[in-house]
Amino acid sequence: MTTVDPNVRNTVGEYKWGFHDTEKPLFMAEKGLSEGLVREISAMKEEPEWMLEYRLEALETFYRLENPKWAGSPDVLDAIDFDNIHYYVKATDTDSTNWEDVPEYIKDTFDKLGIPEAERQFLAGAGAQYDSEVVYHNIREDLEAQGVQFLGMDQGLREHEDLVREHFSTIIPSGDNKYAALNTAVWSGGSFIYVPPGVHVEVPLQAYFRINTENMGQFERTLIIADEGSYIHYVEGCTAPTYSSDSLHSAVVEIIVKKNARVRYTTIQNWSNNVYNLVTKRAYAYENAVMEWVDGNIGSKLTMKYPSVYLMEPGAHGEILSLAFAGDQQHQDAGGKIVHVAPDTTSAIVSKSVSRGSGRSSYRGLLKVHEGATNSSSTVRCDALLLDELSRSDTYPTMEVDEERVNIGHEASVSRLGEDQLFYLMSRGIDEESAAKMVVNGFVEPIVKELPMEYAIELNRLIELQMEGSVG
Amino acid sequence: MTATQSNSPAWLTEYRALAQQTLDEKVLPTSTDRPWKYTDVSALDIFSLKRLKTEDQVIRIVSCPEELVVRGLIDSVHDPELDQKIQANLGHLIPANEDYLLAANSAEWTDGFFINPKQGVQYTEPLSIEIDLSNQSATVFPRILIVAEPNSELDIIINSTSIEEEALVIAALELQVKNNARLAITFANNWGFNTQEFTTLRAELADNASLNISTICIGGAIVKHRYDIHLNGKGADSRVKGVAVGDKTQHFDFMTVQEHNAPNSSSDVEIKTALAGESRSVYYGITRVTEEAKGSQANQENRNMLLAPKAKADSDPVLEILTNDVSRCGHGATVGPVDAEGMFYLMSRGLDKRAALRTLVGGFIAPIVDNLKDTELADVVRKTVNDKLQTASLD
Repeated sequence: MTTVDPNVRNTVGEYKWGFHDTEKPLFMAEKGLSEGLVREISAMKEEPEWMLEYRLEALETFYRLENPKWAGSPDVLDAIDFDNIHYYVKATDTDSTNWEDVPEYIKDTFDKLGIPEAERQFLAGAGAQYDSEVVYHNIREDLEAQGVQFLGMDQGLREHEDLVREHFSTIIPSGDNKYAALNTAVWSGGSFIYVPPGVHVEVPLQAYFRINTENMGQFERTLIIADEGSYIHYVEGCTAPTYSSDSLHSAVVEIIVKKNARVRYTTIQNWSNNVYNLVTKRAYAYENAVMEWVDGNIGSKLTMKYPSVYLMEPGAHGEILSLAFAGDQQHQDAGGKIVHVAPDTTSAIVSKSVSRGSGRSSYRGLLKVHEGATNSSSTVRCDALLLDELSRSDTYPTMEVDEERVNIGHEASVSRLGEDQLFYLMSRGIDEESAAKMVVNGFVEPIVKELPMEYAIELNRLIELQMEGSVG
Repeated sequence: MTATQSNSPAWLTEYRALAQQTLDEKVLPTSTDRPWKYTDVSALDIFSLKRLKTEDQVIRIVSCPEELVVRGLIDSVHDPELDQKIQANLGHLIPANEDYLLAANSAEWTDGFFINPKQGVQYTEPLSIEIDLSNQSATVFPRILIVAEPNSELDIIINSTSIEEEALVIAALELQVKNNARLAITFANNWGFNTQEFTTLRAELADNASLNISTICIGGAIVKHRYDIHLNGKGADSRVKGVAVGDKTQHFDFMTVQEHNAPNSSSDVEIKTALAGESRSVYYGITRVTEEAKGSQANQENRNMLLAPKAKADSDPVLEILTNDVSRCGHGATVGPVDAEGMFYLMSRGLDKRAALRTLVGGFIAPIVDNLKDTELADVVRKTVNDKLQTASLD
C-alpha cells in the first residue's frame, strides 16, 4: 500500500524566499569581531556611554564563554566561524515611517514577502529589519495617540533612554550564554515596544526580519514592556536568501509583563537552510500577568531557542506553544522554559515536532519550581512525529521541583506517520502526498489554531512546502 | 594492593594498574558532568574509612539454588578453568579508566562473586546475597560478574544493611545475558543513615534475553544507582522498577540508560519516589532507539510524591529516537503532593493522618512492591516503609 520511493522522499521542499538583492549596502563592516568594531557600531549609532560599556563588557564575556556542553549538535555549532561573519551591515540610512521613503530594492524585497500589504490589511503596526538596521516601522495613529510606542530598538534607545536603561539586560544578562553575550556586544535593530497601562492593542503588531547579505550576522535586540493591565500581540517573521555559506542570527528578546497585563509573542521562523538561529528569549510575568510564546520553527540549519517565562508574582501564567518542523539536514533544537518563582502560578507547555528526511527535532525544556512557589501547577506535553527512517526526535524535559504543594506533569510520545492513517485516507480516494499532508496538518493543528488566521494559513502552507515530495 | 592480588593473572594486574593510574589522574565528578548534576560527590574521600578484606565476609551468600555454583570473584579468577571466561567478561562493560568511582572499584575490589547460570537451567530458588556492614564503619568495593548462559533462568536478591556510623559502598556489576536467558535482580537496601552507596550496573542483552531489575531504596544518606542496559539482541527486553522512600536529608539518585541497538527490543523504566523531610530524589534517564532498533518499544515513567514542604524531586526522562520505525516510545514524569482528596476520603473513614498517608503511599508503590517475586521480601518492604512513614517528618 504505502511503499515509498526513497529518492522522492529525500527531495527537499522548495524554499520560496531564497532570492537576494545585489544592491551595495551603505556600510558593511569587515568580516570579524573586535573591540574596534564594537566601538565603531556604537559610535555610528551615537549611543550613550553606558551602552558602549555594556557592549564592551559583553564582548569580553563572549570571548570567555564556551558553547554549551549540552548542545545536541556540537559539531554543527562548533563549525561557526566567527571570523567569517559581517557583524554589521547597513543598507540604508532611513528608519522611516513612510513606506515610500524605503529604498526601491528593499521595498521590492519586502513587497515580495507581502509585508506592506499585510500591514494594510490586518496589522496595527509593522516594522521591517533588513540586515542590521530597521528600515521601516509604522503604527496605527489611534494607538500612537494612546501612547503605544513601537520603534526600532535604536530609536527606542534615543527617545526613551531611561526606560531602556532601566530594563535592558535585566531579564537576560549578557553572561546568560555565549550568544546572548555576542548579541549584547554587537546588537543592532530589533523592536522597542511600550504599551501604557490599560491599553489593549487588539490587532497584532508585526516585525519582519530579513537577512540579505551572505555571511551576515543579524543581532536584533527587542525589548517589550507591557504596563499594568495592557495587552499586546507581537508577531515576527524571518527569512533569508539561500547561500552556499552560513549566516548567523542571534537575537535577544526581553519582555516585561506587568500586573494584569498580557503579552503574546508569535514567531514564524523560516530562515533559509544556511542560517544558524541561536536565540535567547525570556519574559518576566508579574502578578496575574499572562505571557504566551507561540514559537514556530520551520527554517534554519540549526535552531537553538527555548523561550522562557519566569513567573515572578502570584497568579502569573505562562504558556509556550512550540512547533518545529525539521526537514532534511535541519536540526530544530527548540522547546521552552518555565520557572515558577511565586505561589499560585500556572503554566503549560505544548510541543509538537515533525522530523522528515534526515531532519532532527529536539524538545529541550526546563520546568523549575522554586521553594515557596506553593500551589503552582504545570503540564508539559510533547508529541513528535517521525516521517522517515532517517528522521530523529529527542526529548530532554528537565524538571526541578523544590516545593511540595505543586502539581507537575510531563508526558511525551513519539510516533511515526501511521500507515493505517495513510491507508484510511487513501482508501477514501486521497493521494498519498495529500494524505500525508493531512496527517501532519492534523498533528500540528492544536498549535496552528492559536495563530492569527493569516499566519495559520501561511504556516500550513509552509508545512505543505516542507512536505512537498515527501512521499512517493 | 592486597595480598590476594600478588598472584593475579597478568590481564587482571594490567586492568588494576590502569584503574590505579586513572585514580591518580582523574578527580571525582562534579555537577558539570551531566550524570552528577544533582548529586554532589566532589568532596567525597573514598579512602578515609577502613577498608575491609575478603576474610571479613561483608558480602556473603545467604542462600543459593542447589544446582548453582557461585564462587568468590577473586577465587574464580585464580581457577584456570574459569579464567578465560572471566577474562573475556570482567572489565568488558566497565573499562578501568572510565571515571573515578568506577576506577576506584576496578582498582580496589576484593569482594564479590562470579555467577554463571548454566545453559538451559532454570533455577527455581533465588540466589540471595547480603552486603552486611552492620558491624563496622568501612568502605567496600563489591564487584559482581554475571554471565547468564543461553536459556538459563535465575533470580538474584541483594540485601544491604549497615550501622548508623559512616560507611561507603562503591559497587560495580557487569552482566551478560545470553540468548533467551532470563535474569532478575532485586536490590533491597536498608542502609543506616550515614551510608553512601554508588552502584553501577551494566548489562548486555543478546537475542530475546530478558533482564528485570527491581530496586527498593529505603536507607542511606546518598544512594545513587546507575543502570546501563544495552539491548543488543533482537527481541531483548529490559525492565527497571525502582522505589525510594526518603526522609530527613536522604538523597536518592536513579540514572538509567536503555540503549536499543536491535530490532523489536523493548524497555520499560518505572521509578517511583515518596519523599518526606528534606529528602530529595533525582531521576535522569536516557532511552535511545538507534536506527537498527526497528519495531522497538520503550517507556519511561518517573512519579514523585512530595510528602513535606522541603522535599525535592528532579526529573529528566530523555528520549532519543533515531528511527521512525518504532511501535511506541513515550515517557511521563510527575511531581506532586499526596492526593488531598484521597487523604480526605480516608480520614473521613476514621483513619488518622499517618494511617491515611501510609495507605496512599503504600498504594502508590504497590505496583512495584507487589511485583517482587520474593513475597517475604515484599512483606518486609511494606513493613519497613510503613514504619518509616510512621515517624517521617511531614513538615
